[in-house]
Amino acid sequence: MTEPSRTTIRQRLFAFLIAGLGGLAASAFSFSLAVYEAAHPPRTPKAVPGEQIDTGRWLVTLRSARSGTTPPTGIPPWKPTRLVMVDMDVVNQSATPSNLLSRAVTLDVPQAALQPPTDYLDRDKGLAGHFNPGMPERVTLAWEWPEGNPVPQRLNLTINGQIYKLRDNLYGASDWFDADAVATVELPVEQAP
Amino acid sequence: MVDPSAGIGRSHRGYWLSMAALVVALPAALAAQSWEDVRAWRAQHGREPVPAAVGQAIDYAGARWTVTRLTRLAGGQGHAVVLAEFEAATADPQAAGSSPCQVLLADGDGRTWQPVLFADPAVRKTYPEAEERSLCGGPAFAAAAPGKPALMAASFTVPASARDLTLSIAMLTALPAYLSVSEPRQ
Amino acid sequence: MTGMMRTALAVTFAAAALYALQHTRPLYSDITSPIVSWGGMGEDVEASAFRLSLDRVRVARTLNVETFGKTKPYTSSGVWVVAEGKAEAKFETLSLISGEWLSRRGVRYILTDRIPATIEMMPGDVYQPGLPRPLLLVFEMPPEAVNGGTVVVARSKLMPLDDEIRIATDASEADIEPALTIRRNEEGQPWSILPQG
Repeated sequence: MTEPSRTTIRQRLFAFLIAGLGGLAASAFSFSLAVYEAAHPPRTPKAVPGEQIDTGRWLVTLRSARSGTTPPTGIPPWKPTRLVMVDMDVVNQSATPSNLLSRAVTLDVPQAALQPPTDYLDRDKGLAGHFNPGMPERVTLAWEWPEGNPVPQRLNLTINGQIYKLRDNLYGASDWFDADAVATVELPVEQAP
Repeated sequence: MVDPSAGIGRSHRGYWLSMAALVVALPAALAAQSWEDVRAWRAQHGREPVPAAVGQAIDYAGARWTVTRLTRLAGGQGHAVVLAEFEAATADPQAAGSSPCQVLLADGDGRTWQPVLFADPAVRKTYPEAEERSLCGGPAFAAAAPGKPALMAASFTVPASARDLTLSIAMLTALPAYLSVSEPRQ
Repeated sequence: MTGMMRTALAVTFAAAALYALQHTRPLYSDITSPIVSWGGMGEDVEASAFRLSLDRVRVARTLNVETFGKTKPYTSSGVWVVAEGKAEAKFETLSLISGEWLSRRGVRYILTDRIPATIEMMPGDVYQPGLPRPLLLVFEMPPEAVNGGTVVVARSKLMPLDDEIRIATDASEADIEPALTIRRNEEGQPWSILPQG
């Protein structure tokens, strides 16, 4: 072993300083990046009804919105509730069937969160189950509107995208994960008695 | 400077000693970690049969059990239906009813059958009262009149060629002991 | 110099080995994938807990479901595939919940959930050891998925490393019938498949 020289201590202090400055610079950079992103949120593009929106897993084309007390089955429930229904065409683009369409199409409402909507298959006039890949279907999503809240004239819908990760961060499993919103659509609501 | 070759000899011996210790330590660590789980797993499976005959009252899981009937009927289409009727008399029906109960029919080859949910028409025709009995578990004990035993039944759909059938009734809290009743010889 | 070259070579070799390992690592779904037993149409395929055979696969554009005297038509943007077969549990009572159609391109289609459970299909049945019983699978898919499709049957969808039986079907896009009727029977075979509505 060689004897420690007098300059070693100064060298060590110098090394600490450099490392500290580097770490400080890194945290300052990440903080300012966060502030910048908060000040400039990404703009979600607007889409029009009738336009086909690619969410990654789904191809969604919104058609119309209406409100009424009769669900798409045609059978009024024993407890009448006001429903807001949105008609759309969907195609599942992934390789496995999915019944999570309500994650892709969400309603922007100012008041408290609504219950998740019910999917109805127009073809059967009944509840929709899984959507098989590559099969276009007409679907109606029906949200139960809470009592006392008036149904708005125009509905704002957000279409959320999903990405497919071959290896996720937890198990390394392959799955679809929620990504940023892909589009927002405004639909006029036809009021029915 | 220390003699380098002596150091190397010592570190070689230390290396092989550590490897030998690993052979012992690794299985010991595995055993210590999983001992409780293995014991719990073994306890969950019936391993100690409490033998009984049809009509014989026997104490098991804090109740007095009697298998009153274990018969085989001909079902349609090449299968047979085995009907088991049994009752349990206990001073504390609530406690008995809170433990899950598993009823199985096993044959000499190790195949097992679980009770069917809906009685076969052959059972309904020959033993209509059996339909009023519940499956083994909470509802049967709850439905028992105070002081009277809980009446239970289970029916199984088995191939007509099944032989050496034994009925096993297991209360989860009393495992690994379980009641074992053999089909009476015809 | 050779010392440095050897170090450089060792590092390169290590990097290459790590790269190869990283890129050939199997996916999680391959590691936990079920243990498959293969077979063809009409063959009795054995898995460790159950055995299955598929006797006939039919394809139609419209499916009519007849229960209790009433017929309800089911249309589709694709075609309906109806597979009939037999299954038997080997050692203990079990249910077969998961049935899928794997197309040649690797796309999966699950058993249809549009047909009511009054028609006895595979997920609603209980299989007893020693007693084979008839089995019905109904799928809905685009016509391109029919050719070379494989029927995949397992006890459950979620259990990793469970048994799975895959049967390569002889279904063909060329034999699409215009309509099929599935009729619920009160006795005997639980259903009958009748051609042409």
